Amino acid sequence: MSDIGIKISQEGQDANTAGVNKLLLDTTYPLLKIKGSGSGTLSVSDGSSDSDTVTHSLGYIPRVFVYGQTYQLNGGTKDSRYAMYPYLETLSQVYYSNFTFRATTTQLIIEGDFVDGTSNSDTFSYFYYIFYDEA
Amino acid sequence: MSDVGIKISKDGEDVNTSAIGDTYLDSRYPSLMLVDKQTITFTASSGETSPSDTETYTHSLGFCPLVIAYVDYEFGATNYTNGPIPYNYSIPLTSTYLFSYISVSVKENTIETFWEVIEYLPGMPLPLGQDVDYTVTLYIYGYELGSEVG
Repeated sequence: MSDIGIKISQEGQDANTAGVNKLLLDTTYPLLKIKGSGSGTLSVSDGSSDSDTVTHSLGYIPRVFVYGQTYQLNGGTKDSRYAMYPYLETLSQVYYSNFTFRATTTQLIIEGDFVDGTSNSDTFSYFYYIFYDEA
Repeated sequence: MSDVGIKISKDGEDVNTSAIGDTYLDSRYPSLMLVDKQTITFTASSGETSPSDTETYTHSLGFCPLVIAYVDYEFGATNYTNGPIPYNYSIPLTSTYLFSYISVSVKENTIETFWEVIEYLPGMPLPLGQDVDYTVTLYIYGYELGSEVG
């Protein structure tokens, strides 16, 4: 690692010798750098999926966090709380709920899908963070 | 909090008064520094019934770091990626199900990845019909779990 950079320790700690847990900043380590964030909704019905595509054009697969609402097979309802995607629930070989994402070198694709034989439909909100850091 | 450090505000914001949301960097707050990234691989072997094990990675940091972990695995032609850990899901196979439980336990000098894999019919564990290869990615940050900010 290079010796050139910035190192800031907690108050009372010697920045020259402090361990990384006593440092507020040490630029010899990569920091999570946010490229962008956003939100959206997926309109999903029983047996009919929906997806949204976010173009990031980074040229590599970035780190991504996606959180959103899900469909609960147990009870057949939308869970309005936010879970970390991907969310996967399976009730049988046929019935499932899957809210997930895929990151490619140019896009983030967020998808929702469920099959439970209810004919239910709903709108599921999500939000995401895309980082400059590689996955 | 000390007044000695670095603060960089967004364009157009006064760095002396900018709120944290309008500030790109404020060294009074710990930054998430990626100090280590590791890939842990293991295989649940065909023919075994409910195999489980613990994979240990030694980070030697001397404190419990913040760890964000994901699992990828493949079964047949289907890839399951970016699964957040703790991971606790079943997937349907042709006529059975595959349950995977994966968790990480963060300790002062090690990270233990525990895994358990069960192919089953309801109430009946079965021998695994094929190998299942798992890859766990550990992102290890310099923030000490349990420490106070500010």
